[in-house]
Amino acid sequence: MSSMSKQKKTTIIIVAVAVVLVIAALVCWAAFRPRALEGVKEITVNITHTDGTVRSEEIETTAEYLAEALEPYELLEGEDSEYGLFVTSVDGEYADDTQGAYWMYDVNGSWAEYGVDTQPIADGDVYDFYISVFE
Amino acid sequence: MSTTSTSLSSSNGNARLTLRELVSLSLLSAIIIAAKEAMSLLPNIEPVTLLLICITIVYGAKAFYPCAIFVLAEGLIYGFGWYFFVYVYIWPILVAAVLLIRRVNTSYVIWTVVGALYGLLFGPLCCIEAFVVSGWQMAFSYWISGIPYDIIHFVGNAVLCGVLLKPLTQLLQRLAYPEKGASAS
Repeated sequence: MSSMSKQKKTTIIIVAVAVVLVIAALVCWAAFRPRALEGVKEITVNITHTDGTVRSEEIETTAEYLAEALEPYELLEGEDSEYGLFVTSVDGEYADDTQGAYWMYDVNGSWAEYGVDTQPIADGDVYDFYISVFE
Repeated sequence: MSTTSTSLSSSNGNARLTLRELVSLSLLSAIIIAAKEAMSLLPNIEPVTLLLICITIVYGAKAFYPCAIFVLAEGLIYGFGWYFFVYVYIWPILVAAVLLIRRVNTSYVIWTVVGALYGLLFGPLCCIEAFVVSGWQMAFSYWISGIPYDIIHFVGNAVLCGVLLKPLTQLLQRLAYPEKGASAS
């Protein structure tokens, strides 16, 4: 009987811990998630290919996130992943992740902290896309 | 033996595989890979957690064999990119956690919560690699970006484990060790 109630107690504690962790995750998401801006924004997108050529686009958009702003240009290809769009190809150049090659991008000269589909855009932003190889 | 507990479940405790275990664990590895691929269109709704918990409850530490085969197969299917190195530690962590909890837990409710919590913690565990490669800021951003997917993973694992873990574990127990299952029914 006592072991039964002990088991019941443990179950209640573990379920409570799970609920608290879910709430904590949701609170963190609400506090720290990338926030988008409304209205018209002008952004610059530079794509540096491995052969050294650079494609630049000046884009005027009302999109809130980078991937959405680039959609009309059909620059990005990728797969949906746990962290959103996993970019495999930019402007027709494929990065082979099995060889450690990945498309990366900087926002105003600093490493991007979000995926392209959760990267909020602001007026005047400059985005630099390039391939990095991780050994 | 109550049908609501997992206490009967255990492997023979011998580190060496019997021929029956060798064949069964090979087939279970194939089932994990096939089930995972079959459900891969659904974002973060996956059967691997359910199956690995079930196999670990029944086979104990021998569950590391199908776990390793599954990880290797994922590498062969999708390439040995960064995600492979996450898989190398993330799935054995689940098996190790179940092995530890298995010593004290006999409740399917708790196993369901364990599966659900593993889904919630999958994102943060993935970020360990981002932390090592790019530092805490990048790891934190990765984790924040993935929280909605972690919640989906949590709910998906809770539903799959809540509905299927008990019947699957009891079935596997009967198939794997019929001599123990017969005495329990």
